[in-house]
Amino acid sequence: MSLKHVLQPFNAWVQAFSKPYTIPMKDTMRPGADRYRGWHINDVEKCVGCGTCADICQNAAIDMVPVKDPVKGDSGLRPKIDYGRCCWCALCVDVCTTGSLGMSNEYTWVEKDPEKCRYTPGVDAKPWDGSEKGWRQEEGFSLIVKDRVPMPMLDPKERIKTWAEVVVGYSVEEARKEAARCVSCGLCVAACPAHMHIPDYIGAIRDGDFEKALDFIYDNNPMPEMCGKVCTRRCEGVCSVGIQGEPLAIRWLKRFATEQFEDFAKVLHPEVKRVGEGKKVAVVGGGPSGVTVAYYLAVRGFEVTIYEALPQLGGATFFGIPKYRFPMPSLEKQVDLLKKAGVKIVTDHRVEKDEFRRLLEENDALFFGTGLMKPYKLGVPGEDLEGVIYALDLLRDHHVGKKVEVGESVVVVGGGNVAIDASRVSRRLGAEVTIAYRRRREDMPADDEEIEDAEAEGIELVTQSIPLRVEKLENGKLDFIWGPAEMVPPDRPGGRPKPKLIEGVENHLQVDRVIVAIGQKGEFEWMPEEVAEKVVTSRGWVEVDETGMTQWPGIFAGGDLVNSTADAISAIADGLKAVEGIQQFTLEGLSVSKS
Amino acid sequence: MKEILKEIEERFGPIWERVQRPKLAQVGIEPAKAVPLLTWLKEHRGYVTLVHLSAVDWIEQGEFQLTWLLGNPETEERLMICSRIDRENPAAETVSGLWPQAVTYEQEINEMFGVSFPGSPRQGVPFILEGWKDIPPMRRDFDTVAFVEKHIPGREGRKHIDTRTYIGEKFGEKGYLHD
Amino acid sequence: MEFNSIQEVLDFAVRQEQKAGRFYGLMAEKSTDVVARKFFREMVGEERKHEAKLKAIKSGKLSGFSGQGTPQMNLTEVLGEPVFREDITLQEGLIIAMRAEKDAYEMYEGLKAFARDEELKKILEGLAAEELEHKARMESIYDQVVQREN
Repeated sequence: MSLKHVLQPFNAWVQAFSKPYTIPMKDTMRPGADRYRGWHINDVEKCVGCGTCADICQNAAIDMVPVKDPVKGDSGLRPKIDYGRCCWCALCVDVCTTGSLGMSNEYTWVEKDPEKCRYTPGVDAKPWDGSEKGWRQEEGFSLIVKDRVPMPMLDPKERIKTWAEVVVGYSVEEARKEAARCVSCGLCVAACPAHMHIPDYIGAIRDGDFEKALDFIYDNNPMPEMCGKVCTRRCEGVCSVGIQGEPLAIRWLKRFATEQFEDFAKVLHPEVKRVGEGKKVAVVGGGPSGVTVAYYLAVRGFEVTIYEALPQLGGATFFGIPKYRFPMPSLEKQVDLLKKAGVKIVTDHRVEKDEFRRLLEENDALFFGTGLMKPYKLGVPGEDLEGVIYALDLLRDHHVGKKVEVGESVVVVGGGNVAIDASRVSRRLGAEVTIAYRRRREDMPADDEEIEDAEAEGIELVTQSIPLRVEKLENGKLDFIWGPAEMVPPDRPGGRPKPKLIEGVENHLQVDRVIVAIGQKGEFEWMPEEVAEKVVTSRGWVEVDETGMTQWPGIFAGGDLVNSTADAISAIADGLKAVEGIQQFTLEGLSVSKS
Repeated sequence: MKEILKEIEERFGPIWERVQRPKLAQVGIEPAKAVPLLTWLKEHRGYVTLVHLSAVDWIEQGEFQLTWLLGNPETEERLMICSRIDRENPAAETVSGLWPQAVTYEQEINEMFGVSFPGSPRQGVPFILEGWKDIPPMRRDFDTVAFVEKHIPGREGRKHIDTRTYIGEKFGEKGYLHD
Repeated sequence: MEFNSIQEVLDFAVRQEQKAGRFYGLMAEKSTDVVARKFFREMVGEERKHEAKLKAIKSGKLSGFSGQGTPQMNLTEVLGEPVFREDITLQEGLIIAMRAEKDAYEMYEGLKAFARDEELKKILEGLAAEELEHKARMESIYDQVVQREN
């Protein structure tokens, strides 16, 4: 031991009285750099609980935990971070679909209990909440692919000359590229009325396994090629990728998957118990709800017969939706599978009262989904004049092959998909078309894309226009007289704002046809009085319970007559509900004992 | 930077290049010509500083990309020399003779990606990983999550809910083709 | 017409509601359309509710009218004037109901001119507001049911 070593302790003691070389921590707490990656913050109102942060975390540091009830567009889950594992790489922030997750520039936190170093940012209050500094997603940089693979479409100038399908469809490469944008959060599943397995079929498309995709798709939708072309796609409205970018093209991907196969029966191999053998079910109305009931009961061994008044199944998707959106071969493919599954199909056959009674006798259950086949009238003077026609009649006549003429100019009254379809058909028949709608453009029930497509085809939109009357002019044309409207607040918050006529102004529009498409209603003349009296409401709708059954035990219903959204996918959802209801009713008699 | 890129092309044959900023350009070159190019840049064009050496795993293409970032202190210009090497038995020429500090970079890349630099002094000597038995951790086929789950315990009582599954359960998602 | 007391006004109003109830009852009986029939039956019930409300005011159980002030859409003014047929539809039934509420409103408005004092005037105003509210409600139903896509 040297002298130095002996003296060293005293050196240290001497130093104790001089200015220290080290710096006391409390005086020099330095804030983190402006873009420091510190403790997480989360704007929980903006966050939709997609869970992509948890998926990407390479340290498995993030748990999704429930903080509120799930609703459409929000899983109710929020990320909770285990700081025993977090490495502050910020991948979670960079991948966040909403941009809600960030990191503050706070980096110190002393805690004796390690359990506390696990918290749900934005839910468990922390001193750094609301911090402006720290790490955020950088403008223009994202781990999410925000741009949708564009869908090739026919040029508007060309397409009004033909009935050819407007949408061309994705190539394999385009579809797989689009599918790869999906983060598989499943928010779409909640929004889809039929709760289709969306992330699963998108994943299968991404992996190039289109048979598997079709299997997922057909698992709860027997008209997917139709939905792939014309669905109202509420799924895309809640897509988490769509919050900061364009939503996944869910509809086009479904369309792509179905278009890969000519014969679905060769690909699909249902593996279900044939529990329904010996049971008979009659389906009145061959629209999406009826087709759903028929297909899934048939694969379970039920003997199902569909009765359809028109020459083809499909309901509104056959007679209402124009062929440039949903061509016949697409419909036929789906009907073909139905036949191969053993469903008996009787077309061109309208069931009337006596037959209905007989069907009720001869079958173990009866389902009807006869839709909204009658138009509501305009309700204004002059509506009975020649030349005032109904969009439903126009579309139906056109689609069953009757010759229809609309003249040189038409006004279509209404703002739903029926109105848009009638407009675009009229345009293809050679007419100049104006759409008159009582509310604002954003209130139109029609699909946004449909409205844009219509405008691209040269159709004029006149909003906030209230029809006052129709008059016959000397030149043989019709004078469509309308007044401007102001908007008044809805009855209930969240309801539709109401148009109110601004009195004293009259506008005139000279047309050959006034095409009415303000709304549709059900028709019950074919139904036995005793049944109608029991199942129909004072608003012209049909009420069913949670199993899809009406007040009349054994009679089930679904589709536009039953649900408030009146679209194909809701009809399919009604059908699925009835499939279970009918199984319960016929096999277990559960509903009988309940009623 | 245009001139130097043109000159490189003339002397070293086909390259790909991209000017990223006024004083920063990227040059891609075949592996055999990478070190001759680096040497020439250092000896004759004033790129005397090796700022950085890094690697990227392009697993889909079966390649590693090495990037030597050189600096010219006179002009303050920088050049990124990139070269793709085969991902199977990956090896590259060492530049430790040109820049002694490259030894450390090459040691690190050797450890993290499994790329070897024959002749570089500290190849095979642990850089920060001691007793590492797995595949090199910066390779993209290294399963980080599985490693973490195995070696770094999370807090007790953690429970993660998978959003996709949760939504299916909560909203009554069902299938009808399979029992 | 002259009213001498609030009681008289309310009695009159009750009779009006009863009349309306009988009218809808008759229509329900004669209609062949199941939806229209059910709608008219519902209206009979509505009128009974109104009648009960008036009686409650009369007996002092309710202190007055409580209109919600539903925004007016003035649909009634734009639509045609359907007449009753056996095969009348819900749409026409709704228009008839809207017109009936509007007529009732105008009647009470008109009667205000004959009111002897402020008290009476106030009660007539209340009745008018009530009918206006009913009209707005019928218009809302019409808007939701008939003009779903317009």
